[in-house]
Amino acid sequence: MKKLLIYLLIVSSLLTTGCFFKQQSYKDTRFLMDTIISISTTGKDQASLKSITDEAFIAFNDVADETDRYTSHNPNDLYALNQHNGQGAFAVGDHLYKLIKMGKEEPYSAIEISLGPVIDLWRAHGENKTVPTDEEIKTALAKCGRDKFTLDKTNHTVSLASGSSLDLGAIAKGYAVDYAASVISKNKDVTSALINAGGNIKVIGTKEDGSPWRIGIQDPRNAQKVLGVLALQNGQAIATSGDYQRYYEVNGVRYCHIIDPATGAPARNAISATAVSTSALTADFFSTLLFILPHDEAIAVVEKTPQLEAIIVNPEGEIYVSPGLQKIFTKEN
Amino acid sequence: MRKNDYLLLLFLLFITGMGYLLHGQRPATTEKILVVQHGQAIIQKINLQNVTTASEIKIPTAHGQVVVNVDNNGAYVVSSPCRDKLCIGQGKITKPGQTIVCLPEEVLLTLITPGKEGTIDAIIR
Amino acid sequence: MLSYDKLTTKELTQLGVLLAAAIALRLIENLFPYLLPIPGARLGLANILTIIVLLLYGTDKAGLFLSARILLVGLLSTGLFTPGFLIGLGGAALSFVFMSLAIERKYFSPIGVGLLGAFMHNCGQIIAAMYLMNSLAVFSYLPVLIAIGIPTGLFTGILANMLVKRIKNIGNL
Repeated sequence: MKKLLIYLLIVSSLLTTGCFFKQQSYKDTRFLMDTIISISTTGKDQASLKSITDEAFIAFNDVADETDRYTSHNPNDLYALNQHNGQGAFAVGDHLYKLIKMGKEEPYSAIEISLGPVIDLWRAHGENKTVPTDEEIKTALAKCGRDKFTLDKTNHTVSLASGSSLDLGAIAKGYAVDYAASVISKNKDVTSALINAGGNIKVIGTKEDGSPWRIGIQDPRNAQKVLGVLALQNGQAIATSGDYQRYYEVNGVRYCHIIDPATGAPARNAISATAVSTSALTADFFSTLLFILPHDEAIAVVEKTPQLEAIIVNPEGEIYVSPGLQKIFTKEN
Repeated sequence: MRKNDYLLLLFLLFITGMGYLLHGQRPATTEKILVVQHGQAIIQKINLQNVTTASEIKIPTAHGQVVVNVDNNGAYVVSSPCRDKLCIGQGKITKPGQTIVCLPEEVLLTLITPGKEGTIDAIIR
Repeated sequence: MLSYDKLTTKELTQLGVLLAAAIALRLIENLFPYLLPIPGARLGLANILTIIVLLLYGTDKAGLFLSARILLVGLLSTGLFTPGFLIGLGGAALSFVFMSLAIERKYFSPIGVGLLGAFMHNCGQIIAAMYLMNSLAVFSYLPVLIAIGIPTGLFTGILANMLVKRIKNIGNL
């Protein structure tokens, strides 16, 4: 009997030491970049988790400010650059330069960062619930194109043609998520983290019990349901573009916020496109691309691009799940 | 000694039975708390179990007020000064983990359970 | 602190084999997908070996046996001091205490011991989980665990019963 009690004592003291190894978790949610950003972290102590999360949000904010098209934040941001159109070379911040360079060299023509004028046109009509005429679209489109902006590597400047305007909506959020994630990864006190930036998610580290991260993909036609759940591993990023995120309707026709550069009008080849890759920037980029491209072309892109997996829902509601995801995607009935 | 074994078995079966009976008596789901967030501040936490009749909460925002209907089961947005009314279109949330958001007004409504969250870690919207 | 008689070589070898079997069983159990949202919730089949060792060698040596198994499984798979490890530890410890009491005082046959072991194992796991996760919500899984524990407990008890008789016979050859 005494031995048993001693045994119990040993065990309970082991359990209490386990208390010190217990994972703490911290979650913070803020409104940034016109969406909700939520960062959840686990680690050894709350205080350091909070300070790391704050740092990550600051990093996020830096990118958000630099790439915000609608408000002025600092003298070298996107707002200032767009104001400077037709006036020659303009010095831009680092993040901005990298993103614009990517937009310039991008092989896929469906991703076009100079669509500012067309986006503005649709926004203005969205306010009044009207639809632009073909003439208006044509005029706006004429102000867009890869030739409307040039970069100067030596001076770190960008020149915009008169009347043109850049919009980084397709890639800025993914870039910001990667940047915030790098801030978090550098810190040894964080065991795992999940950054959820309205449509862009990146996971860092593994969960407490070693199980993969379970990410639900919203049903494009029912905000309270999910299409299914993806089991993601450490270091993966996922992004979704959908016609339900920002839209307005006129006479029963939906006009979403993602513009197809080829037509100057909202893309209609899909209702939801989710891309899974290793960086949030790549995932963000491909989710937009796969949303815009015709269904067959989109599938072809997925199958020929390494480290890219996707789930695409076409307007008929049919769901395509790329081969690499079939084992880790659980459909919801 | 075999007799004791049977007694133990009966005892365990009894406990399991009681467990199922008690479980069945609980209301539809576990305790739910509605978290109302405006901007960066959490302005209210409402335990739905304490809500006996449906009532409305009015959240003052930049362009007016967002009115939310809260009852014993969940919540939904009744009216909002935002342009697109996407928040109203999101319908009613009733399960822990579900959210409704109005971006222009910076309002976030979340249902949570104290303790274990749902099996999904995050939802990508 | 824990006194024990010297082990003969035969006994040592036998214990070694049994230990390997216990570890293997535990590791195989780990292959099953997560039964519940509780890290470390396992069927508890390795209890078969614990009961056998309790019956053949008594509480002291069985205590060492169990500690060795837990340590090795921790090193090989769940990791030491992870939540999964600690929850498994809670379950194993509680069930061991009650099983050894039951055997020493001869309250139950091995079958009953198996049942008791499974039951206390589940209770131990839930208690450890509640402690580690700071949540009472885990308690709601207890009826389910106990329900699963009844057939598992019977199974471990019956198997332990059979095997003990066989092993005793081997020794007498």
